[in-house]
Amino acid sequence: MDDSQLIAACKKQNRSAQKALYELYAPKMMAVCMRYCKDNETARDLLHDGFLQVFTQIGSYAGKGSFEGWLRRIFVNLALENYRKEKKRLDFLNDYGKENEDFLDAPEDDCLEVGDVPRQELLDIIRGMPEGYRTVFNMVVFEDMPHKEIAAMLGITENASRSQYFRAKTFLQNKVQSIMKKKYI
Amino acid sequence: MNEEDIFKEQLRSVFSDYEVPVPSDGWERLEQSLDSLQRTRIVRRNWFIGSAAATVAILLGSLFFFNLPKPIEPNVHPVLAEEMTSGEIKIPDMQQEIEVARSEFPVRQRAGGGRQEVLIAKYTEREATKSQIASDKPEHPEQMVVDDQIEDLHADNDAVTARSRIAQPDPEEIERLVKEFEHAGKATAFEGLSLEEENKKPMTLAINAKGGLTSSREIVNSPMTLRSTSAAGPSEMAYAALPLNTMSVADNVAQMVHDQPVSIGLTISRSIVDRLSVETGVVYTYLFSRAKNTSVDFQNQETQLFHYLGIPVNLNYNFVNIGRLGMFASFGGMVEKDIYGEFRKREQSVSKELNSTAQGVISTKISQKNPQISVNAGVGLFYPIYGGFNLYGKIGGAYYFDAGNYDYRTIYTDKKIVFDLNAGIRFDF
Repeated sequence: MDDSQLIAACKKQNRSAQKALYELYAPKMMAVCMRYCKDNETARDLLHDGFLQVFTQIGSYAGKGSFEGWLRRIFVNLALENYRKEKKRLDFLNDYGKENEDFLDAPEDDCLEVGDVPRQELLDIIRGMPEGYRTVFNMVVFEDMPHKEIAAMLGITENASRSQYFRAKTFLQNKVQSIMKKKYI
Repeated sequence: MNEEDIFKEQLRSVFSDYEVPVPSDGWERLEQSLDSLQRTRIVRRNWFIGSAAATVAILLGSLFFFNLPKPIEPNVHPVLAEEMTSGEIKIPDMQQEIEVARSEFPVRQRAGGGRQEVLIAKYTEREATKSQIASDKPEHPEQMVVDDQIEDLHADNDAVTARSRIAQPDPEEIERLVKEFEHAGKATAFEGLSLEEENKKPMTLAINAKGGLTSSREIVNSPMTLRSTSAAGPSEMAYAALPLNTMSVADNVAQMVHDQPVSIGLTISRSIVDRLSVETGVVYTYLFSRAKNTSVDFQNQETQLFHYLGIPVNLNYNFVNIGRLGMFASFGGMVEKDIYGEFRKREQSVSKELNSTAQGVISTKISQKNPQISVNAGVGLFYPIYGGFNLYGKIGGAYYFDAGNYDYRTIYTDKKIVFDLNAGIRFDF
C-alpha cells in the first residue's frame, strides 16, 4: 500500500491504515520532536499529540505537496505550542547561562565539518542549546526560513535574528571542536 | 555555494533521514486516545441529534399543549351522555316523539336532516336537564321535555320559533354547537387547530430584527488573518504576507472569531394563494470579525466590519392557526452586497534585545468582490395584538453559498450554515 492509499484509508478512519502510517513516519517525526525538545518525555508526548492531530485533521490534506512536509509542519507547530503552554519566555539573552559563555568565542575553525560528528552527538548539542538559540537555529537550518521572516515572526529585528543564529552556530561549532579535540588527543 | 550554505547542507543531510526509535507503547497509547476521541465524537453527535429531537418534541408538545380540545360542557344528561359515548344514541321513546313532532311540522326539516336530528336531540336534552334541576324530578326528564317541546310546537304552530324557544341558545352557543357537531366523531390530536384564515388581508408590512444564534471561533497555532495577501496594498504587503505564510513556524497562537450576524429588515408580503404569501424587502446586516495572533514577543490584532444590504425573497406558508396564534413556515433566499467595510490591524512587538516596543496600526476601507447569495428556511409564530398588528418570531437557518470572496474572511465564508432567530412586528392591510 503506497502513501496515497494509506492516506485515503486514514481519511476513512481505518485503524490498520493509521497504524501503518504511524509505523512508517513515527521514527522520522520523533527525530523532529527531539530536535525541538530538551527532554525525551516531552518529545514522546509531542509525538503522541502530533499523530492524534494528524489523524483528526488528515481530511484537510489535499494531496498537494509532500505529505511528509505536511506532517512535519504539524509537529513543528505543536512543539512551539507546547513551548508556549509552559509559559517559557524566549529570553534570548537571559537563558544563555554563564557556563555557556565560553562557547561564544569565535571558533578556531570556521569551516568545521559537522558531518564528521555522529548524528546523536549533534542532536545532543542542538538540544543543549538555550531555548531561543535552538528555535532560531532550527528555523534557519531545517525550516530554511530567511532571517527577515523569522524576525517578523518573532517580533525581533532582522539583525537580532542573525545574531541569534550566529550565536547558535558558534555554540555548535565550539562544541563540535571540543568533541573533535577530545577524539584526536 | 558559500560556507554558510555548506554548513546548512551538511546539517540537513545529517538529519535528513534521521530516525529515532519510538516508544514501544506509542501506538497503544495513540490507539486508546483515538478510541476515546471517537467516543467523544459519537457522544457529541448523539447529543446534537438528541438536542434537535428534543427541540422538535418540545415544539410539537407545546403545539399540542396549547391546543388541547376544549372539553364539551357537561350539559348532557348522564343517561344520554353514557349512551352517546357508546357511539349511538338510543332513546327509543324520545326519538319516537321527535319523529312525531317532525312529521307534524315539516318546516323544521332542512338539508342534512340527520344533523338536524342530533341537534334537536341535544337541545332537547339541555332543556331537559334544566327542567330536571328546576323541578327536581329525576324520572325521564327527556321524555318530559320532548312532550313540552311538542306542546310548544303545537301551540305556536311555528317549528322554528318553537325550537328557539326550547333551546334558547345565543348565537355564539349555536356556532359552538354547530362546530362541535361538525367535528363529532372526528376528534384527533389536531382537533381545535384551524387551517382557515379569518379575514386575511392581502398585504403585510413587517419590520424585524434578526440575530445569529451561532458564531464562529477557531484557535490554531498557525498564523491566521482575516485578510488574504492579495487584498493588501503594496505598502501593507509586509504585514499581510506575514501571517499568511502558513509554512512558517513560530511560537504562535492564532484565534479568529466571527460574531453572530445582526440584521434589521423591512419587508412587504402579499398573499398569493390561500395561506401562501411571497415576501420581499430590504435587509441590513452587520458583520464583525476579529483575529488575534499572539506570541511571546508580539501581538497582532485585526478587526473587520462589514455593512451589508440584502434583498430577500421568501415564501411564507401559514400552515396552522391555534386560536389566534398562527404558525408559519418560511423558505427563500437572499442576495446581499456589502456597502461599507473597514479593516483595522494593530501590531505590537517587543524586542528584549533592544529593550524596545514597536507598534503599528493599519486602518483601511475594504469591500468584497461578489454579492453573497444564501438560502434560508425556518418556522415561526405570529400573534395578533391590536388591529392589524401582529407580533411574530421565527427560528431558522441560512446556508451561504461560496461567493468567491476570498479577500476577507467573514462568517459567511467560514461558517456555511448560520442559525438565527428573527422577531418583529407586522401590519396586515
